[in-house]
Formats: sequence, C-alpha cells, structure tokens
Amino acid sequence: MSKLQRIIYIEDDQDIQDIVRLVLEDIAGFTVHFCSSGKDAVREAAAFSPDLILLDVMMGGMDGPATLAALRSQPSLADTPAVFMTAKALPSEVARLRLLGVLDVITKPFDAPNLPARLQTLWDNRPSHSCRARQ
Amino acid sequence: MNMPTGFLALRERFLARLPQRLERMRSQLSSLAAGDSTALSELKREAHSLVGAAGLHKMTELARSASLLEGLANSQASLESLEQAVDKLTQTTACRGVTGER
Repeated sequence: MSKLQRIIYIEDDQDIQDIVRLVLEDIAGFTVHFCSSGKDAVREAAAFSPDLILLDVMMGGMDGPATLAALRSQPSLADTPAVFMTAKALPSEVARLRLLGVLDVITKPFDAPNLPARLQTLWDNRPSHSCRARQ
Repeated sequence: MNMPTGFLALRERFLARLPQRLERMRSQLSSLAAGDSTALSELKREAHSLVGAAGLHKMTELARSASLLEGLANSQASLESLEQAVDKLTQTTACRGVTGER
C-alpha cells in the first residue's frame, strides 16, 4: 500500500494554517504545500502532485467546493482523495459536503494533535480505484 | 516532540492578530452601513474563521461570541444587532479570562 506523504492544504486563515503546519509538517513529518486561496491551489496543485487534498470550505474568492471542482477537472487530480475542514457546520451542510465525493468532512475545532492520525486513517481506508470507478 | 511550546507560540501569535480581525469586522460593518452588500458575506466569513481558530486554541468563550456573530450574519439580522455582536466579541477579547491560563 502506498504511503500518505504529500498533502496540499488550502486555507485562507493564517492562524488555522499555522496550527495545521505545526501538527502535519513539524510533528507528523508530512510534506505539505500550503495555499491561501483556491486560485493558488488550482495553479499549483498538479505540479505538487499531492496524495491528499485537504481544504477549507468557507474561503474568499473560490470557496472549498468550487476549488475542489476546479482541481477535479485537472486529469492528474481527478481521483486524488480529498477531505474538507470546516468550522462547526449544521448536519445538513456536512451531508451536502459529503456528497461532493470527499473522504470526510472534519469540523473545527478538531483535536489538532490527532489530525495526522485521522488523515492517515482516512487515507488507509480510502475507496480503491476500482470502487470509485463504479460510481 | 516540542508540542506545548509550539502551540503556546501559535496561541500568542493568534492573540496578537486578534485586533486585526476585529478591525476588519468593524470595517465590514461600516461598508455594510454604507450599502455595500458584499460586506455581509465577508463578515460571515470573518466570523466563521474566528470560530474555527478560537476553537482550535480552545478559547471557547471567544469561539461562542464569534459563533453568535456568524449566526446573526447568516440570519440577515439588523445592522444594529451585528454591531452589538461585534461589541460583545470585542469585550470577550478584552476579558483576561478569554486567553485562558496565563
């Protein structure tokens, strides 16, 4: 099984970005490419070639769902597993986000020290290619 | 693993940036009062970000005040209510207890 190593993280709040940088990069040792906007991500993601796309939902300019759709339209990112992060959302909103084909929707405040393990578990249990092809 | 130190440093940085967040909210309220309707979605986003960031730093009172503002902004509350919510948020940040154990 391939290992989770490269994560692109799209988040426009600097303080939240800082915490995620600390836990994912400094502590867990993932290679993380940070983008402060969906626009930056659309320009930079393919070259970074991420194993996982982690993105905030509510951002200025392109929001999370619009960013994900734009990334998905790039052939090399069409099947890259993705996870949304959002500050406390209504269950109906979380359900709507899940329908967009992500592994999970993580609501903030999440337990920061456990974020790497949570992403690793989601990654390990991601649907196989054959499974997703049937959708 | 230098976790507590790292988190504490980020918490300090978050607190140092709080006035800028409040300043942006005030400016969004002014724009809203001047009839700029896009300012409302900016205010919603600003409040939403603060809910997340304060929550991550386990500052529950601050997250709650930000959440109140977000809820009001989402429910098309009056400008006056929004201003009161930003005032409350400002008071919460000024309150020593909000920053937790120090």
